[in-house]
Amino acid sequence: MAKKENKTVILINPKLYSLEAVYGAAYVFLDKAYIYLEQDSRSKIKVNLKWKTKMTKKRLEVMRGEFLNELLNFSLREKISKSNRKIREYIVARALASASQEGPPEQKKKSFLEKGPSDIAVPWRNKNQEQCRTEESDKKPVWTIDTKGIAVPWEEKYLNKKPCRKEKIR
Amino acid sequence: MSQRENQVSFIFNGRLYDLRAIKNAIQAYRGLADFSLKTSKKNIELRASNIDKNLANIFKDEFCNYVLSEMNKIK
Repeated sequence: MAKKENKTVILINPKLYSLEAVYGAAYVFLDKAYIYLEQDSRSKIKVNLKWKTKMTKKRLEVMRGEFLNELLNFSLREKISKSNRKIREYIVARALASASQEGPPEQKKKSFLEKGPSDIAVPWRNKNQEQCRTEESDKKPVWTIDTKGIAVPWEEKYLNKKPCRKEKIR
Repeated sequence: MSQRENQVSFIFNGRLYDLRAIKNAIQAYRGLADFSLKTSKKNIELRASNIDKNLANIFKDEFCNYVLSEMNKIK
C-alpha cells in the first residue's frame, strides 16, 4: 500500500477478496474519493483512491483502514448471502404462493370430506362451528392490572347506587 | 488515464470493468463531451473530446466514479 499527496493506493489479492466485495467497498467511498481500478502485473487489483478533500497523513491512514474494513464487511455479507440463499428463496416462494389467489399447494391437496381425529368424516358445517367456538374461546381477553378502574363487575359498581327508574314506579 | 487539452483518454481493464457500465456512463455524460470507444481483448479504451471547459479538471475522475457506480448496479 502506497500513499502520495492526498492519494491512497491499495493492492488487493483477488484470491482473498472477491471482485464484488471490491465494488461494494468502492461504492461506499464514492462520495469521499475518486476511485479507479487497475490490475497489477501480478494480477492483483490496484485500487487508486484520490481523496476529494485534503487529508493529513494520519487521516489517510485512517481512511485506508476504513476501506479495508469495508472490504471485509462486504466479503462477509457475500458469504452470508451465499449460505442463506436456499432458505431465502424458500421463504420468498412460500410468501408468493400464499399471496396468490389459489393459495399454497398444501391447502389444495386437502380433500372435500376431511376426516376427524377418529377417522370419521365430519360434515363441513359442524366442523366450521367447532372451529368458530375454539376461535372465540381463544380470543377471550386476558385481564391485566386495571389502573383506570374500568374492569369493575356490574354488581360491585351499581349495588350501592340508587335503584333504576322502573323500580321507582313500582 | 491521460489528459491533453480538452481531451481525455481512459483505459479500463476488461476484467474489472463491464462494457455495459461504460456505455451507460457514456450515455449519461454524452451532453458534456464527445466519446469514442475501442475494445480490445484485455482493455476498453475510451477517448473523450470537446469536454465542457468548466468541468475539464474533474471530468475524468467523476466519469470513473460514475462507471464504478454503474458496475454496482449491473453486478
